[in-house]
Amino acid sequence: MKYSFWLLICFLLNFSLAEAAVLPVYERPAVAVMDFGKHVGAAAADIILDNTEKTSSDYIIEALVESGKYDVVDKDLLADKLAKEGLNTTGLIDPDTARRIGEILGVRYIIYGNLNDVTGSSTGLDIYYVGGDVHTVKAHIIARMMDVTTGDIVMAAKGEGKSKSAIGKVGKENWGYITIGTARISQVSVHNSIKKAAYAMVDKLTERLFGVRAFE
Amino acid sequence: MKRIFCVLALIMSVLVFGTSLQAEGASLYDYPNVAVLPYANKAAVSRELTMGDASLVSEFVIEQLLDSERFNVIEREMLEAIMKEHSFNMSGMVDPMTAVQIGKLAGVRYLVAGSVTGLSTKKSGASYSDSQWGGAGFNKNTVIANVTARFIDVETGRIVLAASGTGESASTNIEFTLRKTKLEDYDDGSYDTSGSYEPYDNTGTYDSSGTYETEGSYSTEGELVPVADTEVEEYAAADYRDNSVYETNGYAIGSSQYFAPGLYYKENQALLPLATRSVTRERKIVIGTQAFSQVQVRNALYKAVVDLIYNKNYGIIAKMDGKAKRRKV
Repeated sequence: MKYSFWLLICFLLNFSLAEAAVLPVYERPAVAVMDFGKHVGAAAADIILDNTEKTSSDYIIEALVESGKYDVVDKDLLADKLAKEGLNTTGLIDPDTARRIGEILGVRYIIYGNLNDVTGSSTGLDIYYVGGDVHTVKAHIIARMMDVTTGDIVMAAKGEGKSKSAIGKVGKENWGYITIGTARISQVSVHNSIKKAAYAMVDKLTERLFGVRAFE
Repeated sequence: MKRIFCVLALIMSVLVFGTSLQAEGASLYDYPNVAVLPYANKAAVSRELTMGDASLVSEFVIEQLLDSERFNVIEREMLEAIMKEHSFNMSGMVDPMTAVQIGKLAGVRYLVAGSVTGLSTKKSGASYSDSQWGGAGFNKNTVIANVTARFIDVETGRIVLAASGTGESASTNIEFTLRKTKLEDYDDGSYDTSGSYEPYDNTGTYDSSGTYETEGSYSTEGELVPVADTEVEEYAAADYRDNSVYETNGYAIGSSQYFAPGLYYKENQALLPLATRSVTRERKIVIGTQAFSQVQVRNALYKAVVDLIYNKNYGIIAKMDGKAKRRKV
């Protein structure tokens, strides 16, 4: 009885290792994040969007790695090889290109998409001599996950990020004003909204793929 | 015999199990050799700032990784020596694939790649302002930098660790504004005050169109004698403009008509507003730093790198030690 017990323990230990070596498709898939594109037309005039699509890609990679649910391959290590073959890795990617990218990078899935819009708005409230404005920047990232072996989009997700700043004002024309806060939309809010959108997108993608959220 | 067999089987299983755990951990947690690649600029830089070369961030990362005493950082010089030895192109360090090859030759297990993802400004503060007297304010100009890093296993190309950090550098100033507004008369073109003349004989005819002819003596020389100092009645019929400026504050100049406070001149005994304009003069006193500086950029980037490594919730060390918090979205 005793021996049987110990043999069972050994069997279970070895079995757990054996099982860990063979993973189902969605249990830690190998993915590579492509360069995200951006739709600049939707942005407010006072917002600078240079490089923000690259920022999006970086934060998506960070979020995917941080979630612990994906095996993320760094595309940049083979960027030269991809470029030599003239493969488009930015924005939307066709299945043929995706297949070749998958072969070069050794991944089954690629995540690609766009920083869809970054918008800014200011809303205010004035009651008698007290008022204020809240500046909000919203960013949306839309991503797709493609199985490069079939060219099928297996999942898509959208993430929204919001960042706010505010200014308060007390006074009137004849008396003068006391103001505290940030007068206008800042570039910090733009960055923060994009980072939040990246994390929100990965959270949603993970929830749809694995049934559990990556973040709280 | 059976017992020995079982004990051996158990020991073997524990060893295999333990080794498999260690294999995952030993690489990153056992003082691995790492090389830091030059940083890239992927930031939307605020208009007030410039960010040409992000490679100084690589130096900050190397310094902090060494300080952490968790990594053996292979210096670029050493990599370059190997490159020379193996006849690699010296400029190849910017090519990650070459870096992988060099890294393997130098025994590097992980490449650290990263970028500057944000370089922004923020103006905030508190102020009081008055349109008449001026104001006072406290201004804070903050530069905020964001950097990322990812540890790439050179054997597999897999990213085993990724993190980001934020750093801020602020400068402040106190500003006082003294404002004075006054009404000033000026030549609006309708009234020539450039010449000087003396009261004239108004026996001539007067043309309502604006031309005036006189039969008497007339001179453009001498000084204008203000109406107030002369016999106004003598010139009442004439088209005469007084060079004097009258200031009224309600009922004035023997009139029952109300005049708003301001400056006036007399014309045909009528008091007409003088062409005036409001002139505001401002004097500003600023104590502190007014503009964003490159020193702030450098400091913000340095702090961002420190945050990247040591942030107790999301930093590299916290993630390696399993102490990182679950992020809220």
